[in-house]
Amino acid sequence: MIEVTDLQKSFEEIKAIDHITARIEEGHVFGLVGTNGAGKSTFLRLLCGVLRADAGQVLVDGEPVYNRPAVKGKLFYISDDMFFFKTGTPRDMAKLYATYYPAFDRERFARLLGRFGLDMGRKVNTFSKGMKKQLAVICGICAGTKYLLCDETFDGLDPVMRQAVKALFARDLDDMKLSLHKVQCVVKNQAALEHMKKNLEVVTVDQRGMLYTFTVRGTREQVVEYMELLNPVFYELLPLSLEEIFISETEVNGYDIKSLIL
Amino acid sequence: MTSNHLFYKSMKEDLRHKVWMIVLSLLGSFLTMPILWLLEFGDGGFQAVSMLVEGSLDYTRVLSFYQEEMMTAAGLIAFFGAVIVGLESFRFLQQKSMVDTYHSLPISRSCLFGVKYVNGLLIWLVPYLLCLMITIVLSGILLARMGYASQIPLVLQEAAKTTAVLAVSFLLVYHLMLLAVMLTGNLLNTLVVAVVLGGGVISAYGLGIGFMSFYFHSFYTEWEGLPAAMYGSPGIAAVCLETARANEGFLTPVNNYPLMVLICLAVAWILGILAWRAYAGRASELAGRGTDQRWLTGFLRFFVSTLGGMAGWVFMDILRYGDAGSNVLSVLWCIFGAVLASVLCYGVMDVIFNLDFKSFFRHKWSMVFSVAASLLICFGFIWDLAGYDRYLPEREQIRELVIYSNGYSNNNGAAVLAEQTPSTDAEQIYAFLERGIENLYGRGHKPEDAVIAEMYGDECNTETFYVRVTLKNGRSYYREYPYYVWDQEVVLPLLCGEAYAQSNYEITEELLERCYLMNLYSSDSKEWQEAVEDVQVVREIAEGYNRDLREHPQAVILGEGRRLGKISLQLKGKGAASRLELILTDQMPYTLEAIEDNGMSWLCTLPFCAEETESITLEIDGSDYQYDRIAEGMDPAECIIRSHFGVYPAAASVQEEIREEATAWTTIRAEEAEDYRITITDREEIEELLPLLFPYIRMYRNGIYTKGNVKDITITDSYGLEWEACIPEGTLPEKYIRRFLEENR
Repeated sequence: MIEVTDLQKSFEEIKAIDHITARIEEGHVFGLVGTNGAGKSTFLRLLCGVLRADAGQVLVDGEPVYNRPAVKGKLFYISDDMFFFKTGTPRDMAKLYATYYPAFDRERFARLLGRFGLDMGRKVNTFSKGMKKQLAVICGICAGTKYLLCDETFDGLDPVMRQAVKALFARDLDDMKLSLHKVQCVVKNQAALEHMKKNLEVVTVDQRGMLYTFTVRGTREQVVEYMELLNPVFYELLPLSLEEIFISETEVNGYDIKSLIL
Repeated sequence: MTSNHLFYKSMKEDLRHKVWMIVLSLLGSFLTMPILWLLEFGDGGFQAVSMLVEGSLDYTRVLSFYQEEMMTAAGLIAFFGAVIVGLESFRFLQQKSMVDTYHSLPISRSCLFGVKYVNGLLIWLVPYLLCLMITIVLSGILLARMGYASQIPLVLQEAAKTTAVLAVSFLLVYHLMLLAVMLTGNLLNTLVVAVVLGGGVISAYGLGIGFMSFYFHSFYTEWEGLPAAMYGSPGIAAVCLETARANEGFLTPVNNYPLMVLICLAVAWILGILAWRAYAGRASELAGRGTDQRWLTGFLRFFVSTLGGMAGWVFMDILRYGDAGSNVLSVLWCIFGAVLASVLCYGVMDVIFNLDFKSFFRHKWSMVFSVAASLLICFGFIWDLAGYDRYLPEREQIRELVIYSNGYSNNNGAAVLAEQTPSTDAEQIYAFLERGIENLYGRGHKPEDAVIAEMYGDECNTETFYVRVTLKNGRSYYREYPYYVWDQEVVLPLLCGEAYAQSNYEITEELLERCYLMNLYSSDSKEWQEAVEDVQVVREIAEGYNRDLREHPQAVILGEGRRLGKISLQLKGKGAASRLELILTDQMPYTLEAIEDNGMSWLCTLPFCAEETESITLEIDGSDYQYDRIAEGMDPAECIIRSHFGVYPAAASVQEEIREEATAWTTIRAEEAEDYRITITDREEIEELLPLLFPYIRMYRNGIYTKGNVKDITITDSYGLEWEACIPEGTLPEKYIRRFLEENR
């Protein structure tokens, strides 16, 4: 569990983090939503111990993270501008992370690289931006840490690459039984609905008449199994749209995106 | 994973990305050690062996390779290697993406610092040691072939000394670069901070010394602050350390070299600790920015801007022929130079620190303050606001005085005030210092005779005396003051005093033991060279000389009397002096007695006598006096003749109106600078003149208090032989001056 208490961080006159308190439970995908310059990256850099907080504290499993190797070993930070050795290859990156993360899974690393069509021996500086993002995500996933902190992972990716990276996350979450799914369904059996809420982690629920929209956590098979149990009039599993979440969350916070667009 | 395990794994991982540096280091060490050795001793030693057979090589040549050639070449590698390794080791701190990656890794800062630090050290040290071993093996083989196998331990000793010096030098620069990296966020800022920290103190010291010598008339330094300035500039200290070992004493501001090495090592470790502390507290967000150390940037801006302003001032002054002290227009130019340079330095530093051209005038008031500070310092120098030149302590405060003049010593070594014996007579000291200060500001004591001499073309030269005054509170200060010929009453008591004589003229036992060759110059121009086999002969002469020095100091120090001959003692071994010059005059009875007792009376016997002299010819080469300054209305011929012999009419005999009119000056034109000559054949006149004449023997050092000798006098004897002679300035009777004028009109 990551606990953040009254966190503050300023860069000279600019207050980047202003009294943030948060609690991230284990096994959750926690999204940080905010406008440009809101301090999301700074928050992540504080979480992974790159920056030192001016005030407040960050506890990972009950221990402070800054300059604590044992705690930092539970985290892997994929920054928005991931560093790769100038003339290094994916193999060099694997060696780097394997040095510091004992659980780094080299076999999985090689397997995932192959699945994404990335060459283990090719210099990273010849990779496209999307390929570098894929490599960063693969490094993070293979590090075997308890927590994975991702900053702007999909920024600048074309739609195909975005889907590919999402699929990579999804597969990993799937492997960890932590996938998120958006389910739209029309149900009549309220009792079955309550049963599902008890057995699946329902992140959000939206009801419009008979039409329910759930965000649930679990493997695809688990979700399908429960939906079958629900015996709905109709149901559909939709891919989770981060953009949708972003827009709805900012609207809740009074950020009128429509006025900006229109 | 244990921390030790992680440390070694991290080192290995880090080194994988620094292979290029290892290769460069290896190549550099290889070229500057084994290859350089082979170039020196060539063909695997065959050439050296043949040199040995020829007698042009001994084993010390092999030893000196480690002290000289290798020290210089490997020193360059150590210096530049430390710069590159220092910049590269923590390069990750200056890129946001890198610092995010490295500082998010599960490794503590202390461990990461240790890994990067040790790797940087090893990148230089391991290739160095490897190549050193190869070189030592080559040297060992060569020495064994030369039959000097027993000297191999000396090779190891020399190599160890060189390695120790190189290691200290490397650490100085390496730690300096690390500190600069830790304090800054990008390469440009790192280099600026490294340059200022590495050489700033000595630059300020040099500029300060330059200003003082430029604007203070009495400024003199024994460079007593130089060691501290050097240690405060680690980049320069590293260079001094290496060159001092390679060139024995070159750029060594302290006499004790091992102490210098130890102090440099201490400075290196202080820098290293500061670098570590700076890293431990360094904010990751500094990456890519200039620097966020406000105290550092503020200090550097002020420091560089003030120094820049001073440099701008002095640069303009040099362009204006260094007359800023006396010319208003020049002062304005200097102000312009100082303000421009100070503003530029300040603005550029701000641009560098903020990485933004718009930051040039970001700190306007601080900039104004820096400009004002540099102007204040410059004016402080030019107007001597601190009263440097005028400083004269109270008579009661003075404990002792040490003086030295380049014109007065019997050896060819460079004397330093620290080696001089002090005088303690407060009255003499005070009068001497007071007159020196007065002379800085004009000729307050110029006597009327000197005014007349100047009208006839006498140049009124001064003698510079370097002084160290020690006060009763233990503080010492150094100055140099000019003294005129007419300041004898304050100068001679000290110059011919016991203290000065002892330091600069006395022949000590230590000097006697170093004496190995004696050159004798007789008055009839004969010269002998004798090896000193029996030091007793030299000792007896030296004892006589030392006694004359005590009892007749003006004869020994000022060369008073007729010069009869000269003894030059050659000294072996290290020391300031390598030669002692003993001028023998007829006023040195004890020396002459010792010479006679040792059967060398011929050395002091004049080759001419009145009975055998047929004529004496006095000549003047008028061209020597072209463009000499004389008072307007004076007869150029008389001026030439009088200034040649240093004979001037008494002030009382020169009419008042002439003296009063002598305010305008002219020069002797080329057509007026004729040659003059008279020949004296009258027996009475020969007998009158001859006692004044003696062979021309030049003293090794000459000051204005040593009476000059006028040459170009030829004595012809009854056998037709001619002898060159001279006469002391000011001693030719007036009637011969008049004869010159009469015979040459």
